[in-house]
Amino acid sequence: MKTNTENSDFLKWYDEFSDAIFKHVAFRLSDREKAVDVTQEAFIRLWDTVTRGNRIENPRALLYKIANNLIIDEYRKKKTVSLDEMRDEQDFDIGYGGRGDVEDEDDHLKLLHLIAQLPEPYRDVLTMRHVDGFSVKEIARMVGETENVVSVRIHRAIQKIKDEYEKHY
Amino acid sequence: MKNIIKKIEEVSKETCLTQDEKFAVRKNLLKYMSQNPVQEKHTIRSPWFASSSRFRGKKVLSAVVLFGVVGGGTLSFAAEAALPGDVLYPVKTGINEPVHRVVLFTPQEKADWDVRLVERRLDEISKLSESNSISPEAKARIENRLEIYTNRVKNNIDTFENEEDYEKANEVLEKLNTTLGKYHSRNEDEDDKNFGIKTEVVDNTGVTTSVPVVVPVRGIHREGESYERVQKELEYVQNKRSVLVEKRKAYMEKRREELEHSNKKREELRMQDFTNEPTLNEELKSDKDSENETHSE
Repeated sequence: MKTNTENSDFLKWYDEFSDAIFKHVAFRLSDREKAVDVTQEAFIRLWDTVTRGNRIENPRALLYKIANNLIIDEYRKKKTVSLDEMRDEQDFDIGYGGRGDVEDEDDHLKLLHLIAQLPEPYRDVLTMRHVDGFSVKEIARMVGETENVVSVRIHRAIQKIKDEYEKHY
Repeated sequence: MKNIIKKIEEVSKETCLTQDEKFAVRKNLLKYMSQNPVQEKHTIRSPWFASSSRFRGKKVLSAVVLFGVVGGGTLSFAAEAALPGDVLYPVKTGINEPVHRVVLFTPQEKADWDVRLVERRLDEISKLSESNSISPEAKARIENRLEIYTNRVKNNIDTFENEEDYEKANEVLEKLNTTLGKYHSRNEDEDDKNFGIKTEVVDNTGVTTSVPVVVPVRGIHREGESYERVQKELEYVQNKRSVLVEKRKAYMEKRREELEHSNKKREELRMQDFTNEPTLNEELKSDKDSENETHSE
């Protein structure tokens, strides 16, 4: 009886948060395939927490935390893949929803390329702020920096993308 | 700048799992969930903790209580064999003995237990003197206790005596006598061993006589305070016994007199009743009188 409610709760969380987590991971890793794997792994770890009999108050926050740890693990692997390489691959379709027109699509891919080239600390806060929609305060708490530092990083990240965008395209 | 942020947000909006991906991951998760089900915690509860949640915080307390009961029992059992100077000796005299006395119900039982306490102290004295390991302080303490307990026994005897329950008083007295006598004779035997050895002495007249060898007595035998006390108490027992016998005799006499008196009184009353009873003739006569009276009317 208890197990059933836990199962349905967990599936509900999956339906609710899987896209957001995937988005977060995808932007930070700039790798769609890996992002799917990491998303799945994040939910598996969340389930492990549930089976250990822990009561989960805030599944969203916990999922982001797990995802963050997994992303850091991926960063440690230090596998740098250029966007051009990814573009050549069939399954690189981060951001591809098939809705926008071709011009838009091209523009978005350029943008993703620039984001992928940002240094990790910049990319992380930028993702959190403009992809996940966290407040500066929340991001500061998550990354363990002051709000000021986070604000500056976000600003610099955007500035950098803007500069690069104007330079290359 | 605004443009870039807007673009990022647009891209992020478009970035999502495809239906296939979502379904595939969900399928994998369901498989994983069935392989790793939630551990059912606290499903089988001990009947001792029927309402487990209420007692969860008190488990430590219950453990302490349980340990207290079991450990305390073991401790007091172990303390039974303790002698003065042992670590557990205070447990024996300070906890075991008063607790035992409290659970006794009748004054008779309590009096018997007090005699038993005297016996226990005397046993301890004997054991210690055998091993010769008694320290002066321990000896003083034990003798003090011996005095307390014998006084308590005496009080018990007096109480029974005042209640004119000479049977019980005598019983307790005899028990005390047996206890003291046992200790006394044990020491006598010890001394006899030494005193029994005799040596032949030839005096100047040429007559040979056996003279006991005087061996210095060790420990508390004969010269010890407790030995003196026991002797004193034995004297007390002798005196008390004769007092009790006298009192009992007087009491019995009194009771007999009372009984005789009451018997006599009853007899007198009966006789009185008998003499007062109207005789048959008188009754007949009175009946006749009353009859005559009615007739005359």
